[in-house]
Order: sequence, then C-alpha cells, then structure tokens
Amino acid sequence: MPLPPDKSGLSDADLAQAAQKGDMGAFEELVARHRDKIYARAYSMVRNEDEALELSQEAWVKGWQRLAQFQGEAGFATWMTRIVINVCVDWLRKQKRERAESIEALNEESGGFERLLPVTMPNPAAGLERAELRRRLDRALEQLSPEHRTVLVLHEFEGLEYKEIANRMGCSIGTVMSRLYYARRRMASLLAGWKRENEE
Amino acid sequence: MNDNIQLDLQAWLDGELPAAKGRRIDTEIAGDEEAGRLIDELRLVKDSLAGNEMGRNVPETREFYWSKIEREIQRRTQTQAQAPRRVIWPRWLAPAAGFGALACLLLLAVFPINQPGFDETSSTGEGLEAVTFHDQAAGMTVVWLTDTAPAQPAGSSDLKTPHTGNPEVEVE
Amino acid sequence: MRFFELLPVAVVCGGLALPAGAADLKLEARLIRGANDGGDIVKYKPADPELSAKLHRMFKWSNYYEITNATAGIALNKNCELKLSDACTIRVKNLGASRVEVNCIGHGKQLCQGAYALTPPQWLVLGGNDTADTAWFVGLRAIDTKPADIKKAISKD
Repeated sequence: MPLPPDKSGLSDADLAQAAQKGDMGAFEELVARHRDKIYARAYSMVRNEDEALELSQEAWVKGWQRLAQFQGEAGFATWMTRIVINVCVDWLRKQKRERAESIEALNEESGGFERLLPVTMPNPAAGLERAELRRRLDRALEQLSPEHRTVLVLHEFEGLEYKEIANRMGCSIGTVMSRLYYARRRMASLLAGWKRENEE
Repeated sequence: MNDNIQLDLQAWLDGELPAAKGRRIDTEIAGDEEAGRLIDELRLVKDSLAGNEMGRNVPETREFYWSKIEREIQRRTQTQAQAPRRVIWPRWLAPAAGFGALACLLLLAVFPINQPGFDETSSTGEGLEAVTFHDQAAGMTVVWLTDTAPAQPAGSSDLKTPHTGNPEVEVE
Repeated sequence: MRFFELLPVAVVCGGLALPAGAADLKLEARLIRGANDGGDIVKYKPADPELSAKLHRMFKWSNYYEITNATAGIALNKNCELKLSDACTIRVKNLGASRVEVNCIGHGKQLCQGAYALTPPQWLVLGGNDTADTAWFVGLRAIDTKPADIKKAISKD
C-alpha cells in the first residue's frame, strides 16, 4: 500500500520500509527528521560547518544505498549515526595522513604533560547554568585534536565501548584508552582554567 | 602512580575492567589519596559531559539540503546503470583541504514546478558552474552561478552561513 | 566588476505590437543586490518584501535592494531583451505553457542560459557573487493579468 502524501505521522520503521522499496519521498522524510542529529554528530567530530554538511550528506547517500541492510534492530537514527561516524572517521584518517607530523602532535598522542599533572580538579559544573556549561564543554572539545575528540565523542556521547571505538578508529584498545585519558585530563585542565579566570 | 595504573583507574571508572582487576583497583583507591582524586577528576569530566552535548542544526533549508542528497543518489544510480556522463563534483570528491566555497554542478532540474513532463535545462558560460534549486515552500527556483576558478577560501559559503571571502563571478 | 552600473532600463521585445493573445506572457524582472551593510547602496530602495524574505531565507546577506525593475509583454515564441543595467541584460523567450528560455548576459558575456517553468506566482531567481561581498540577483516572475493590462515597454533614452 503506498504511503499517504503527508508522511509526518508515520514511524521511522514504516518510512524505512517504504524507502527500502524505492520510495524516495519516505527517505526524504527520514532525512528531514534526523538531519540535525546526523549533522551535529558530523560537526562534533570534524568541527567545520562545510565539511560537516558534506560528510552528513555523504552519510545520507550511503544510507540510501545500504537501506537493505537496515533490519530495524536499532532505531533508524542510531543506524544512520553509525554511518556518519564511519564517514567522519574515514575522513579524519585521510586528513591525518595529509597533516604533517609535529612534535606537539606526537606529544599529545602519548598523553602530553597532562598525564603528569597532579590532580587539582574543582567541579567544572559547580555554579554554572546548563547552557553555559554546554558552551564551555563545547569550547574545550574544540581544543582537542581530532583523534582525542573523536574518542571522547564516541565514548561519552555515543556510549561506545573501548573495543568498538578501537574497531571504528582502526587502532588498538590501548590507544583508545590513552587518548580517552588524555582527552579527559585536557578537558579538566581547560575547564579548571576557565573557572579560575572567572573567579578572579 | 604509573601510566598503567592511571589507565586502569579510568577503565575501572568506565566499567571496562575485568572483575578480578577491578577488585584490586578498589583496594588501590582505598589506600591512595592521589588515585582517589584522579578518579574524582575523571568522574567529574564524565558526568559533566553526560547529556550536555551542544545541539546543532543544519544551516540549510530542508529542501536545499535534500536536493543535494537526492541529486547525488540519482547520479550514482545512473552511473551504475549506464555509461557515466560528465559531471563536475568538486566538493564531493575533492580533497577536503582547500575547497570551501559553494560547489556547483551543471545539472538538470530535479523536478519541475507544476509542469509534469517538462525537463528544465541549463548551461553556463565558460568558467562558471551553476546549481539549480527548487524551493517549493518558498515558490522559487534559484540558479546560482559560481566561478570555477581554483582555490576558493576555506569555509566560504553563500547560503545562510556567515562566511566571507566568496569567489567573484569573473566577467570581462 | 560591478553588476549594478545604472542605466534606465531598456526593454526591447519582439512581438510587443501584436495584439495580446492568450499565450502572451507578461513578465516582471527585478535586478537586486544583496549586501550586508549600507555602503554606497543605501540610495536604492529595499527590494519587494516578499521576494526579500525568500532571498533572506536562503542566502546569507542581510539586506536586499532593488536596483531596477521592468515589466514586458512577450508574445508566444518571441524574444524580449531587458537591459537591467549597463552590466546586466536578460533575454527571455516565451516558449508557451508557462515556460521561458532565459539567457543572462553579464558584461557582454553569457553567464547562463536555460529553459525554466515560470508559473505565477513562482519566482525564477538567477544570482551570483559580486564585488565587496555582495551578490546580484535577477528575479523573474510571470504576472497573471488580462491582456489589456499589459504595460508598454520602458523606452531607452
């Protein structure tokens, strides 16, 4: 049975099923529903608006091509998020090959001086409104290298385990752990610094 | 505290430590103030991040965003079905670095406005590319021309993003 | 190169003298500039609010100014040339059934040519970047009117 013209009331599962049969209008409705989420995930990883637009659109095209693989075991948005993550990881990997290796980058990879810092962490969220906390966290994420940010995003925002992150990023679990550790300590250092600045 | 213990503490916090090792960590934390403080710091960052990701919206209209996806789907479908036709895809395939300007394609209209069976066509002058976009909601068809001259400034876009450094249409 | 050097709009249409028929097209054309600040263009009037809102929704510029506007009647299968400025000329051919062929000339060079649907009240907008982070737009629209309402062409000085 063909879908009604107004698809806004249909479930993702129904739309995906129709799209699997070639209904591009159903797919367009899915794009409209979840485009912000997919774009936001791409942006969180690549931190560039134009690239995030392109990569998210590439993910949607891949989603269309792979619709037959969507079985509904996870939600459609979750399935698409995995696709955009892979697209972004591939892109970041390519960028890394093209980036010159610097001493700073190598130092950061191993954990940098942060791993040697004594722990003096005040609560970064204390006294902050949620919107301000989000802004600071976002600002701190901006400061991380793509590899460290990716591990943090995948672990903290996507809830992936170390092993799955390692699979997606094509590195060892040990590397994931090191990067996550560095990323967290760097975030703590940045947030503590800004908190101190505000209090002075 | 050596690096391995620091990473074990983190894995313990994340629930990724095998049970036996986890029990040893419990003992470690109980007797070591610095380990306890490290766990607190890592936990604070973890808890702060939880549920506090900044939301972001696509900075393009629904129709425009979709039109590019649809076009690419159709292009790949046609490429699979027949001999490839000459299509310019500077943004989709070019290396990411260095090309930030709005990419344009020589293309056919995606769908006509109230004209079943009417194929809109367009072509551009030398050194130019065009993208044609139908915004049904706005009741507008847009043909946007850009210069194909190399090395647009990174991050520039004319569509609803505050970037600067747009390429000029070169006319004599 | 600036797209907005002004001359009074010149309209030369084939078939204008013919009695207006059912297939005739009454066309409205506007040359518009998109910019983010006043600068030297504050002397121009703001563009039509409806069209401005549509452009604002899609493009990044804060302000849209109307440089020139023109209307013309085009008989079926006939051409019409509208010189919207020294730098910008539009040639429109009425293909019938609310379709037009549009040829956009900028500084004597063809910028684009295409066949499009032009059903009222839809706008067809051609555009591109101009100097100093501004943009040019040519908005075309078919006007739904009775043949007797077709205005005379604006004469060239």
